[in-house]
Amino acid sequence: MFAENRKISLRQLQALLLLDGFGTAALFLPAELAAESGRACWVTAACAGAGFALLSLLLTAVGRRMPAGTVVEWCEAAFGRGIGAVLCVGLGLQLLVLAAAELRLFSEIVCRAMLPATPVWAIALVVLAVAAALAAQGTECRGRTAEVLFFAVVVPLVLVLLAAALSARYGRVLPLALPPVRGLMSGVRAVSLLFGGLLFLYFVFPALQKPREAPRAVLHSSLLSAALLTAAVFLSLAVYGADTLPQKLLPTLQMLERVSFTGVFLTRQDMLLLWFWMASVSVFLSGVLFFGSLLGVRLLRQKERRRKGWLFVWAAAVLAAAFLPENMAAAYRLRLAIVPYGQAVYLLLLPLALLLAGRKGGRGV
Amino acid sequence: MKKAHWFLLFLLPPLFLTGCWDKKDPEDRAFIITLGVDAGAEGYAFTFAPANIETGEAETYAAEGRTLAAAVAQVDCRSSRKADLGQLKTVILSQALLEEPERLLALLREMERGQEISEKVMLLATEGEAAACVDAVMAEDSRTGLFLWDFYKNTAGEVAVTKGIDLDTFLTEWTEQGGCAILPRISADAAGLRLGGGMGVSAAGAFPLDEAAERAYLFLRGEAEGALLEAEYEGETLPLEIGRSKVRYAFAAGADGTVHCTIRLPLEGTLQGGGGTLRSPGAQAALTALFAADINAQVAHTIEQGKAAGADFFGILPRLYQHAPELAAGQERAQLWAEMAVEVRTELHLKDMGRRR
Repeated sequence: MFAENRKISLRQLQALLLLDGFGTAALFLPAELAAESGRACWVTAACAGAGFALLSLLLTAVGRRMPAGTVVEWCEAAFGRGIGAVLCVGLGLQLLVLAAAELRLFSEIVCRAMLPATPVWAIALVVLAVAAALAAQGTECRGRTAEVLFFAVVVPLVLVLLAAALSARYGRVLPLALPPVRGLMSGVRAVSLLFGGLLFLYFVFPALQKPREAPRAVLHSSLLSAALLTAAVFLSLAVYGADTLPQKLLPTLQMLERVSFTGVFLTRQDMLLLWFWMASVSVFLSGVLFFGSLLGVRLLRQKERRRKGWLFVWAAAVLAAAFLPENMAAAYRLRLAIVPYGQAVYLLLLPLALLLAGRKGGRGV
Repeated sequence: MKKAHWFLLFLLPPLFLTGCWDKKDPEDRAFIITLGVDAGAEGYAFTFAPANIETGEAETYAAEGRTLAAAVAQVDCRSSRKADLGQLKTVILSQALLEEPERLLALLREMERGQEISEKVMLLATEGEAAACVDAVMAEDSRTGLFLWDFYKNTAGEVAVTKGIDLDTFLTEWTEQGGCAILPRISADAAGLRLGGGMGVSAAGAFPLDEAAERAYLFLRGEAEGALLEAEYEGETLPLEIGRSKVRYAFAAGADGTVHCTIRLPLEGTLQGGGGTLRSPGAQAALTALFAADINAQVAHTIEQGKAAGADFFGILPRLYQHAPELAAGQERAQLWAEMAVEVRTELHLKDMGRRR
């Protein structure tokens, strides 16, 4: 049904990027930032978020120069086939770690909070099956799904955030402070986890209806993500204060539990709100599976119909990698230890290198 | 065929989401709505009160344990239904337990960490036994056990004699206020349950606050809407209902190096009695001054009570740290609180003209 039209609009791309930014990392973020930056955690979130939003311009600049290609063609054109392949494999590994950690952490959260007797692997399998089904339908299906989910997820989430804002005590944000350098560095690492969706820009240009207008659209979407995350961190600080916030497991979610909706007799409101994350995690995982399979096909120069075979390979790899860490804490630490370095390479260094290689040698990009 | 294949792939996963491994029918669960906690010989004495929608018969389970988890396990061994804390709404804590803050915090931290219990569960304190209060709650509403929940939802915000506080907020305030906070108070006697007043809890122990002190605490939080005050004026007893309550804190360095705190209370109120004639400007000013002086005195007296207990139950010091941290620099919390000079300035506006409707 979707195979005939494999293009997505810029609005769909924006919705996808926005949903990708609201993974499990957003749940942990306020506590992570408050641990190092204290009361200045929201400043750290704003600075780091804006920084990553600006980094998107590098990747979109590369994509604009060669909109018909993906990372495979860009790297081969700039660095030759060997180095290009290594860089692409590295990108694949970065996506694998991101997806595996996301799957494991989300499944653990659902298991601990809602289904304690259900094995984590069962929950992970269901989430992965939904993501794989979505990915199998192609980019356009993902785009349309994200467009619909945007109104079902982001809009209600913003409304609940506004409701939480009414009951927060803003004195807890005072006195205003700037984050220490160490806090800022640690904040950049934590925020980098939220911009994993930007890596999809390495693949998405051939599927865009208007690739030349992509930089602006991506920047707007990334800035909106950064603004929402900053708002969530700011509100968490206003609700819990700098002393309590670092001790909270999922402050973004727990803060929303404070909102009382008239006429709703619901004790665990936070569990209902977990629905927002169910949607965004599924969309992100489907992105990794889809673009991961595309990477395999392009890297080995296979026919497009082999993509679905790669989909199964990727799904199996993500599931296996998700259960390599011993427990939830290990998965959390592993993601924080590996992903920021990968993000530095693939959101900053590689796009810069691609742009420079294109300018100096006139090779491809 | 291909479409059917994908259709099935989408339909099958939701079947796994019905809680397969966690499946337990509602009638097989004892949904605990109210929990009473007294100090036990070696830990805590818990009284669990489940909802009993089918028969409406009051039923409670008592269990002692060093932890809540151990007590729940004991209840499970004696009941045909699995105790479920997922719907827990209210926890009543006895003063004897509140006198031991370490034990209290251990219990509250266990509840906070537990995935089953909502952080919105409401905490109450009682001077007597928590078990007696739980029995009185069940006597009021044994079917759903939601008497207290309904009181705080429907009435508390409009009478300003008590303020509900949930687990999450209590622990946040406890940390922020350096290990002290106020819980709302409940008491059970022959006439039934009574809600009103508070219980200050700190490292030094617990001490009850009467309804006037609780009302003063609400003035200090800017949440005294609904408070009712009375004053004698020209041979009449006049009631005043507070309709709007705000609070402003200002801090300055005193001449002797201490911190001077000025608390402004902008209030709006309506007189509920009187002769029915248009009030003269003089009478308006006299009545305003009369009630303002009364509120000033009540609030100042309550702050003195807090100072005598050596604890800032009212959250004044956190405001100092937020708005004027330079004044607090290098000083111990206890010393700051003990030496702080507090001035209360009530700015009352009477909204009515004096005439009857």
